[in-house]
Parts: sequence; C-alpha cells; structure tokens
Amino acid sequence: MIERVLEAFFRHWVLVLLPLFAVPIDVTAWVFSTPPQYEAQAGVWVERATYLSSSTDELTRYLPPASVQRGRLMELLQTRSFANAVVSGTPLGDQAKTPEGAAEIDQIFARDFDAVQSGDHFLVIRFRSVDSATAVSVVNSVVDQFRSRLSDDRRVQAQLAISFYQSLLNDSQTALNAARTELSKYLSNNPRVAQTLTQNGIEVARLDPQFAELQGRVDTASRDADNARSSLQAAQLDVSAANKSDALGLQIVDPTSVSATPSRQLKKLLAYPIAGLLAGLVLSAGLLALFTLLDHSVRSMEDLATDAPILGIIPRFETRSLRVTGAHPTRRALASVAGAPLPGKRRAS
Amino acid sequence: MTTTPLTRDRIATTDHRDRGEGRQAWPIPDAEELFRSLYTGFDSGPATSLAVCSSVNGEGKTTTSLGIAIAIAQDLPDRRVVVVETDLWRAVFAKDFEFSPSPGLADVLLDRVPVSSALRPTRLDNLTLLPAGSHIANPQRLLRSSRMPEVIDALRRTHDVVVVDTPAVLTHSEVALLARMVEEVILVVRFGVTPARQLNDALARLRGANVRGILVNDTKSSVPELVRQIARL
Repeated sequence: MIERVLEAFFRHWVLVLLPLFAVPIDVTAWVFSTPPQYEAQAGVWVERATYLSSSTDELTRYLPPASVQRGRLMELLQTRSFANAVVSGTPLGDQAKTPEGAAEIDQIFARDFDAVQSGDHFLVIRFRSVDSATAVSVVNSVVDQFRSRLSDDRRVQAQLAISFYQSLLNDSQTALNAARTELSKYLSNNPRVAQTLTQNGIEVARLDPQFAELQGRVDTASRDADNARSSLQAAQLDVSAANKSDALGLQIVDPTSVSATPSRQLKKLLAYPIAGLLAGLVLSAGLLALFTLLDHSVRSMEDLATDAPILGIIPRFETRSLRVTGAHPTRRALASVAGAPLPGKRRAS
Repeated sequence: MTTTPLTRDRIATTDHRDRGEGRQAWPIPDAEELFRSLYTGFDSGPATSLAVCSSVNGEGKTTTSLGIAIAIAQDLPDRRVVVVETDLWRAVFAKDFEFSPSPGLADVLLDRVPVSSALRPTRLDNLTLLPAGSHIANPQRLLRSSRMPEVIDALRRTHDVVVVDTPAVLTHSEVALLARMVEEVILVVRFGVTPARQLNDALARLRGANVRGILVNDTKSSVPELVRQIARL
C-alpha cells in the first residue's frame, strides 16, 4: 500500500502539492490585501431581565447574565429589523435600503462585529471598520438599540407580569374569602369548637380535624394572596422605573473608544494562514488518496496475478539524451535503427 | 529458403559474426541487448510467427514488435523478418518511417494489391514492414475476413519471422482471431498503465492462442531510489 501511495505521490507530485502551497499563499495574500481596520469597543454591564422565572428555559436559568444577553444580542443582529435599526443612524445606513445592501450588512456584522463576555455581567462590544467614525457609530448604535430593546422587553414583561399577578391576586382573594366563609359556617354550626377556640386558642382547636383542614385552607389562601400582592407591587414598581429610565437592563461601563491607528486582526494574520495551511494539507491528502485509489494499474510483480510466465522486463529507457521531439521517443528511436528518421535530430540539422 | 531454429546457440554464433563496422548502432544502447535477450529467451522452439498484444492501448506493443524484429534482423542477416501492422485504427508505421500509408495491409486484404507490393523495405536489408494501409470504414471486418490468415500464410512462406503488431485485446475482439493465426503470442504489460483486472480479462480472451508469456514494460518506478531505500520498498 505504501508503495502505491508513494508511486501516486511521485507521479502526480505537482498536483498533490499544489493545494498545500497554493491555499495558504492565497489566504495570506487575501489577508494582506484586505485594508487594515479601526476597532471601536464599548463595555456594558448587563442584568438578567426576567420577571416570570418560570418562563425562562432550564439552560439560560443557570447561565450568567452576560452570556444570556450576548446570545440575545447576536441573535437580534441576525434579524433584519434590528440590523436595520442599528445601521440606520450610521454611515452604513444607506446600504440597508436595497436588498443587496442589506445582505451585505449581514455579512459585515458576521465578519466585523463581536460581543465578548468578560465576567458574569460584563460584555465588550466591538466593531471593526476601515473608517473610525463608522466603527464608533456602529458600536454606539448597537448599545443604544440593544438597551432600548432590553428596556422594551422589560416593560412588556412587566406589563404581562402585572396582568398575571393581578389575576393571581384576585383568584387568591376569592379563594381566601371562600375559605373564611366555610370556616365561619363550621364554627357557627359547631359551638363547641368555637368555644374551644375562644378559650384555649387555635392550636387546641386544631385538634378537631375538620376545623384544622378549613383553617389550613384559609392560611394557604392568605399566603397566596400575600405573595401575589407583593409580586404585583414589584412589577408595578419596575414598570414605573422602566418608564422613567432605560438603564435598568444595561449600563454603559466603558464608553465607546476607538483604536488610534488601523490594524489587521491578529486572528486574521495568524489563524487564517494556519487554517489555509490545514485546508491545503487536507486537500493534498485527499488528492493523494484519490490518485492512489483510482490507480488500479499493475505496479509490481505481485500485481501480475497470473500463471503466464514472465518473458522479460523492459525498464524505462532514458531517451532525454536522444533529443527526439514529439510523442513516443522510445519507439521512434528504435525505428531509427531500421531507417526511420529521428524528428528531433533532423530538425536540428 | 531454409530456416534454422532461433536457439540460444544460433544467436550466439551469429551475434559474434555480425558485430562489424557496418552494423547500425542503436540510439538506446541498453535496448539492443535487452531485445536480443528477449528473443534469445524464446529458445524453446522455432517460432516463425509471433503476435505482440496488450490489454489496452499505450502499453508498448509497437515498440516491442519493432525492437524484437530489428534485433532478430540485425543478429541474423540470413533471416527475412517482416513486421505486420494490424492496428488499422492507430497506424503509426507510415508516420514514423515517413512513407505513404498505402498500399498496406488493408489494401492487400481488399485485394487491391498483392502482398509483395505492400511491403516496405527498411535500412536493414532483411527487415520489411507491412503498414496498415489505406484508411477504411470498418477495419474489423477486414481483420475477421478469410483473407487475413491467407496473408499471414503468404508472409510466412516468404519470410522466416513474421511479427504481428496487433491492436489492444480488450478493445478489439478480432485480436483473439489474429492470435490464433500465429504460433506464439506475447502479451505486453506496462507498469502504471495496464489495469490489473483487465490483464486477466485479456488473457481470458486469448485463451485459444498460444500465449508464450508476459513482457513487462516500463518498469521504472516513479519513486526516487533514496525514498525507496528509506521506505524499504
């Protein structure tokens, strides 16, 4: 097998080695052909924006807020509406007006935008552009739009929470009233229990199982009503706060700054050529495997699986010194013994 | 004309006698000795007609045919040798030797000319060529015709050694018929060209013929010697 692989390699070495050299060289040339860029970045502090904890899925519940919000931001940027809102106030805004431009905006964000989590609450938002003003304005716009979106979400969630807790409070209140009515009826029908309650207190009165059950219902309904009331008050407070300020879910810790000089990303300079080298290696190996697998020809005496005797072995003749031009130099050189002209020699004369 | 079997002893004496100043030097020195050793290896019997076949095209049939014929003609000046080009699809003699393609074998088979008129002399007095001849529409019908064995017989009567350069066995079924018209068949196998499976198919097609053996051609490996040593190949 190794002999076949080596044969395939040395027969097609130019083709096999071509991707190994061509791909990294092309990638490196492409990296250096792209213009250096300015990088703008801003650091923001984010909170987990959730009222209805039961609505969050199991995974995000245990992730730090920065990770959750980063995921939201990257997802939002993939939506056309959010991307358009971000670029609308920036030099890229004109591009988004055509379908082709919008598609290009998507590519720009995929290539030049990044949000990096740094700690549980801290997010670094970065954008690269050949123009420093564009880089700064996009980062600012992303922060503004994201904060606005978080605030809107928080407000909507709070409204939903108010409706929910209001309804829960009403239900709890109704259940409490019903439980109290039933308990009153029971006490009026059972004066002995009422008397025990008056004289010996509630703990003794609980010795009556019917009373204990009814009292338990009253206690539960009362607790539910209290919880719903406090949640309702918190939601109302949040709505009120959200209406006054957008800074609840996101706060700018490090204002947007931009690099003084344009530069190429280290990732591009190192990772891309290395990736190109690996890709070239894989392509070369694939080509070599292909050439080896496609070669079913006789390569050794072992491949001659036949009973016919071997009459002789003719090596490849060295014909370069003959200077015979054209195809089949060996045949034409042999034929020259019988008088056939050697095309190369005749032309030379 | 009396013929003497091509035995090793016979070759040895004639070879010694013929090494004179008038002998045409081979441009590939190694080839001369190699083709001589090839036909002296055929010393089990006096083959006067020999077909050189291969599984597919490009394996060196014509080169081998010419090499063997020239070696015999040079070493045995009293023997008349003819090489018959039966590959009517890929004729090369006329081009290589720069003579008119017709008349040739096709014209002889069509009874346009007698065999003697189609033979072409070469620089070697005792070596003649029968080229493929005029281009015709259905060469396979000619090779399958009853004229073909008659032509081979006619050549055997006028020549001591008839070397038949055939088309590829697997692409032309009439090669099996040609192989039965001669005394012995040599199958050329070229390293790196002949598919291993097709070699067996070709041998199966030549089952009715007297296949003397396989001639392995172009055996030089593409792997450099140093690499072969390192890889212990």
